Amino acid sequence: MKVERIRTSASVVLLGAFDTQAFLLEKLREAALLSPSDLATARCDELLPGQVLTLRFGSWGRLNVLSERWTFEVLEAPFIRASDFTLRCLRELAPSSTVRVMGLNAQADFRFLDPVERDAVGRRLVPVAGWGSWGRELARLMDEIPPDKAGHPGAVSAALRLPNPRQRAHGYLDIRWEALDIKGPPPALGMRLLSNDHYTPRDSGAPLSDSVLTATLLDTLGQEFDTSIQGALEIFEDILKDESS
Amino acid sequence: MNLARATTTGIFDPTATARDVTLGRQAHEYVGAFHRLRPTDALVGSGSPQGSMSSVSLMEYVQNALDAVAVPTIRTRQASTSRRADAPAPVAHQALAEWQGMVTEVGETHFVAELQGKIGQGVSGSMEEARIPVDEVSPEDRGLLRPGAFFRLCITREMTPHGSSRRYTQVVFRRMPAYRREDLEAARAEARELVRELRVE
Repeated sequence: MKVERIRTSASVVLLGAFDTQAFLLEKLREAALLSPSDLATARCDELLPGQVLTLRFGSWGRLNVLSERWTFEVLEAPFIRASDFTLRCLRELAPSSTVRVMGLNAQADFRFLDPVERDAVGRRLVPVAGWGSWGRELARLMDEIPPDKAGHPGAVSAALRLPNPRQRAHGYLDIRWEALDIKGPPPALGMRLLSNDHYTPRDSGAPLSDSVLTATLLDTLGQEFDTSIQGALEIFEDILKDESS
Repeated sequence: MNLARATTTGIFDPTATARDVTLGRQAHEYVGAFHRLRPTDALVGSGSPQGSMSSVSLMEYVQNALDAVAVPTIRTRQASTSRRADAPAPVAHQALAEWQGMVTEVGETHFVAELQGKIGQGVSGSMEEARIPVDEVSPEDRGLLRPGAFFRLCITREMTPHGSSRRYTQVVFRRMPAYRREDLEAARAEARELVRELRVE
């Protein structure tokens, strides 16, 4: 199949209570959380002081902190930097943070060189047969209008959820597929695959205090980040492999 | 406030890009709306839109909204050459292969490491030993080069929007999380207990 992966990223998303002031650039420098050059070129935008903080590290990393949400996204390998940085920030700079829910996410964008092949993925993942007469009409138009022509109908997204992944007593793993328009010379046809590995230990029924919950989730982050991201990337590759087989 | 593009389930309509934001709103309105969202519904990653071809993440949405109203309280701590978050990426980076490495020996020109394959066809799960030139380590990471140190060895393909590409290898030393004080205390207590039980005749 004529398809290439053009972008991959991974992120850690935490929900809870965070002090945005704990993660200002000066504090990261004092704690030497990243390499000197990363810290020297970092850009810190404090949108609404005390409420919204954004830090960008070159082209590879981006941190967003709100009082209830922490997101660190790594746009270039090695993705483990998302886990290492998050753990050091929360354990060393802001140990009083509370983490109640965690998401470990991967994303990959693919470019198709053949519009027919890209169309085939949409047809395979979202069959129109179950969509009644509207689906049949859509199927007719899908055959009538070539995939590289404007007005060609078809799927734009699909998602599957697996509750309690990897024998966990809580949470779920979502894998989402989306059609994607890519900027660039034609054929600018793409697709995006996303994973959301969602951890909610309180849903397992265990009465966990905030401090125990935070410690549990941070330990889990350190132990499972690699497994989760690698697993997601393997699922992505498998979806494509299915198409080519 | 009129925030019609935020749905009642707490997920922003991803079709609401910065262009759709009416100028002149107070920034705190957007932040307030953001805080009222059901947080678990908003957890699908950074830059991970909820089903759209041209969607933006929740954080980008908030940030774009704030950018759009030109909030005067934005404080940039340091000027840099980094691009705007919503600008098209000048290059794309494709991770081809990645290994977790542990340094076992350090020489003057090379170091030896155990490598465990993490990402890549034929790489994942593999174990091997490698001799790597010290020159591959960036000068600022050389202080971290010592036996027992962990690093990642990555092979990446960089592609420009015009189609040219190059491969490069990168050695990135991990700045590992520190041990927690309670973990260290627990380990010390266990060690004391072991020592107490030892009998030397």
